[in-house]
Amino acid sequence: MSEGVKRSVGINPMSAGQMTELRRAITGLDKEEFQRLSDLVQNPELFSEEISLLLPLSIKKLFDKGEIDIESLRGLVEQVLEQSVKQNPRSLANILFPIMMPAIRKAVAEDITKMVDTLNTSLEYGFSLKRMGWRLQALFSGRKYAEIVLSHAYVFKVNQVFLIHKSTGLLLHQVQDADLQQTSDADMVSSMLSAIKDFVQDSFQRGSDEGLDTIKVGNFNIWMEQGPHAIIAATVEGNAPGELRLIMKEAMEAIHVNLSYELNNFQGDTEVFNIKDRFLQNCLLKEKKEVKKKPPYALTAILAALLVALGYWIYMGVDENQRFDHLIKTINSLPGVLVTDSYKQDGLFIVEGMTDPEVGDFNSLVLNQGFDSDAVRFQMEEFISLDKQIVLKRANRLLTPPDSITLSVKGDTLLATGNADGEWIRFAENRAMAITGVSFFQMQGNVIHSRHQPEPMMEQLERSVLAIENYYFVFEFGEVQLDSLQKEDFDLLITEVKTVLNFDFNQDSIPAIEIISHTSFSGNPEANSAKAQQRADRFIDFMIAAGIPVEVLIPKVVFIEDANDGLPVRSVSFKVKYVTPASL
Amino acid sequence: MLGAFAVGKTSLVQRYVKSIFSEKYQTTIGVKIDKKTVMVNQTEVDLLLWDIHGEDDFQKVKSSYVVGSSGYFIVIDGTRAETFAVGLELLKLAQSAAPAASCVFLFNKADIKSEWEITENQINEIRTMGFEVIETSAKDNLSVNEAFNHIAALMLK
Repeated sequence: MSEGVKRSVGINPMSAGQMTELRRAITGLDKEEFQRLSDLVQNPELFSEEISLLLPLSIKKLFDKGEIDIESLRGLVEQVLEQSVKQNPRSLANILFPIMMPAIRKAVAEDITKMVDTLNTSLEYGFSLKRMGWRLQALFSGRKYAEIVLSHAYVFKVNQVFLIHKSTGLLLHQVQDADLQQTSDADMVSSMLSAIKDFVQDSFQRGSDEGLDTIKVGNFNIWMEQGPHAIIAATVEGNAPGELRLIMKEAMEAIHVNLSYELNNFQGDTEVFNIKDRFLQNCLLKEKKEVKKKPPYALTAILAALLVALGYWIYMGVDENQRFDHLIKTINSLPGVLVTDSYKQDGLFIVEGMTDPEVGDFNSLVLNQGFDSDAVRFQMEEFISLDKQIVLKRANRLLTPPDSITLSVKGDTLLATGNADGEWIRFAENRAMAITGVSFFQMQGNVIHSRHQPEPMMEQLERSVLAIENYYFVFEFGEVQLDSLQKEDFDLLITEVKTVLNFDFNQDSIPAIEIISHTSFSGNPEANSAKAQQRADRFIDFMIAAGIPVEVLIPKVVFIEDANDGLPVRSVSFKVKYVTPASL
Repeated sequence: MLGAFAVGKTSLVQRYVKSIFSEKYQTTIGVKIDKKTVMVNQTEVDLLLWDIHGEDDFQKVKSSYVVGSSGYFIVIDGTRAETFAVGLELLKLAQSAAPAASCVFLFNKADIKSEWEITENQINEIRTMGFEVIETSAKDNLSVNEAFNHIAALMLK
């Protein structure tokens, strides 16, 4: 070029100094600068080094202007990465190692923690039917089993959730469970949590990505989830499931996405965080512990025992009533008995009515129906029954027919069938009319004349003794009075007694009459015995009045439970004894 | 509340928040947080007071406690000259951690000013640095409310 200038202009060649001056005038560069640029162009190594200093700035400016966007670069970067991995995967692995390992470690640690939490809480329920039911519910509903468990099983309650500004430690917002009555000042709690977080982070030299996750005090936990600009802290009572952590993470992400600007430029205005508190509300989970209602074994047993006792009592009552009814029917069906009323009073069965003395007592019937003899009280008035069976019984007792004679009653006639000696027939003819219910006596059979021999004396005596011992009188309580019917029997008794006493034995012994008064052990035995003694003495008075010598009358008291002779209480019977005169 | 140990940080907070004072010294471990609501220029302000443990050779104050604060007191015990230097160290830490926060220096234990080792020159040195200086006494409730109300007003500016 310098040559060309020389030719065309036709001037003297310029000196070096002039050239330099000219170059500076044209390019604005001095010789050194020009030389450097020339070297750069000629030397690619130097040129690339120079450009590398400018390139990042240029790219940044291109990004700022929007002339290059991420999308246009993505394909290129992906291709480069793909190619790099294909050629040498280890190289990229080494590059990523410092980033990936803490991330992987943290993820694994969190998953393990979550798993342990889940396991802990799940163990509480064991392999119960309820648990099986949840699994089926999860299977059929398509929901995750964890969700089902969360909604059914876990025993925990999130009391309060705080959103704390990370750098200032100030409370941005807080929500709490509606049931929570007393709460600490949320501002102070928020500050304290921040202080604790800072303390832990500083004291143990942990990085910002390894912040405090949980504070545990007994059954009370504070779960903290840290984001770039905020912290969510939830106070949890009980054994919360691992899923709560996930929910808190989601809330944290949502808050950062939605309130990114407000968090970055927080100047103390918390109003905007109040408006968008639904993210925190999602963390307010709770699951009331299902009260495990243990089967009330004790109560059931008591109720069962009561029911059994009640059933037994009812059964016994019904059975007792049935047996009593049966007893009443049986007694009422007896000849010579008329039951007018029967009822239960003060635990005792009472039977009221009338009975002929020939009927005797009802003890055996009472015992046969399974009652104690004391359980049934008879309040029976005595009457003379005209029932044929009773009349026959009375006739048999008073006439003491020989074995060869059978008595029967037909209408108001007493029939004696069989053979008897004339003596008995005369005796019977005389006595029969005095028997209540008998108007006529008829002998059907042969008269044994005994070859006209008088009945042996001893036999006559024995019949009188038997007659005496067949008599008995029953008295009301506290009374010893003979009514008209008893008076008839009494007269016959006296006749027989006199017959026996008048008998000449010509022996060392003489007959005596034991007046046996019957009483019972029921109640006060001693008092009963005294009463019975009085009764016997009173009866002896009657007999003395009727002409029986006092010295042959011997009072005696017996208890019906001992006597076993079937005679009722308050009755007086007789026994003929032979004693030496000296003993009288 | 920043300062060397036993300068009276906790006593000042207790006097301000609960209107009580105790001669018994109880060292603060970590941070104790209190809250007081005050009216500043007809604006209701919730003051969250971080009573930070006193700094000594064994227990250094962490800057994270100061990060995010809107204001802080540097408390110096007038009767102990060495607390002045500690206060200045803490000032550096706080300015680094919370550059925008307001700062007020409190020279405490003004009830026994005759025993002070801190000189007027030192106090003026602080003033020269552009900080407010208030002489307080938690025991006699001297200028305590004024100090807190003053820093609250500064923080609102």
